Amino acid sequence: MDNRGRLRTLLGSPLDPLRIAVMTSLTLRPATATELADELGSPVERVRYQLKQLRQAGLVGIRGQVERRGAVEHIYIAKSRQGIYTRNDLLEFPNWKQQKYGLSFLRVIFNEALEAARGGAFEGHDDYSVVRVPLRLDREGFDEISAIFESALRRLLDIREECLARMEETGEEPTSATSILLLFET
Amino acid sequence: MVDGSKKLAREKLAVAASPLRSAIATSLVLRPATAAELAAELDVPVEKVRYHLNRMRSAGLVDLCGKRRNGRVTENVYAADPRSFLIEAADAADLPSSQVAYVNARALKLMFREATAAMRAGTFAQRPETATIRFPLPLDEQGWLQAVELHRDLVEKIFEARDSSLRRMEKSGEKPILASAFVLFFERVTGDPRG
Repeated sequence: MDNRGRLRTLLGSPLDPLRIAVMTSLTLRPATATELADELGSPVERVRYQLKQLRQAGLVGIRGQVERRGAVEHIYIAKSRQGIYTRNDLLEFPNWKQQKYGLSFLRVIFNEALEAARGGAFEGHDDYSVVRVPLRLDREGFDEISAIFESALRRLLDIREECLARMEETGEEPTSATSILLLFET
Repeated sequence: MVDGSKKLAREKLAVAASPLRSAIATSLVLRPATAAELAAELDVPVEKVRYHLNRMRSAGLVDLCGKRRNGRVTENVYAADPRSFLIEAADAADLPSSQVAYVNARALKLMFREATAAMRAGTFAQRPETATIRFPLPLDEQGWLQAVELHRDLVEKIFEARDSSLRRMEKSGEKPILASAFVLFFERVTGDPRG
């Protein structure tokens, strides 16, 4: 399936937040259907259904098997860099669909942030960012900030790779975090 | 001094949590204006605007940057720097954490509304240089510190680019692009928070 099909699978209707949640979890670490169901508080049948959709779209693969509670289960993993959504992915669709998927996408990411707020991610420490900068820019300024975001994304990819490599050695459990960077004309 | 910093922290949160104060702050960050201009732009009574301006001024969030003649009347011109509104560690320490969390949730909702409005108006994705990135991160302790620093750094770079742009536009008179940049980074929480 091509990029277009993959994005349609993720954001198409009916939009199921569980699909995004499963996808995100697997981007962070491999897991079985049961583990995902426990983590996300969802019935395992629903999780299995989403895994099937995601596998068909080529977003998720199987890394191996494990025996748990007397049963053999697949270990699922997100395929390489899927999980990063950028504007270019949206461009493959006609304009009216771009808006529809764009709105779905915004809903998903802000729900994630709000859930984190409700879950206490913004309490008791200052290791987070919730920053909005209203901007009045010339063309060069807009380009410059865009380049700054691109560079931040590349750095984040490096940080992620380095973390995964270190954790493979130490066996340390990762903390899951989300970065959302938006630059748009109002 | 303790009282002063607490007042500043409260005022910052008040701006983030209130649509009207947020709108005033946004306008002034975009360009200097008088109370009357703000009132006209935001369609609210000028007394209301003056009230909020005075509060923000005495907290140091908004500056008086000049005066403007409007017929017989001389009006104050106000301006604001986006750095003033950043909620810092010191601010967070001074106030109940639940309040900080509540205000962040309100700020997120306002951001969502702004992004959605731009999406519906068709301006959101129209420039090729638009950035829309959402990236899950599995982090160990070292990675977490690096990510926190990266996001702080990113915000500072945005401020600098904004300053450069304003200076250029003063000379060039180029027609400005109105835009918004969001930098969100947080620990992901899913399912039942009680575990």
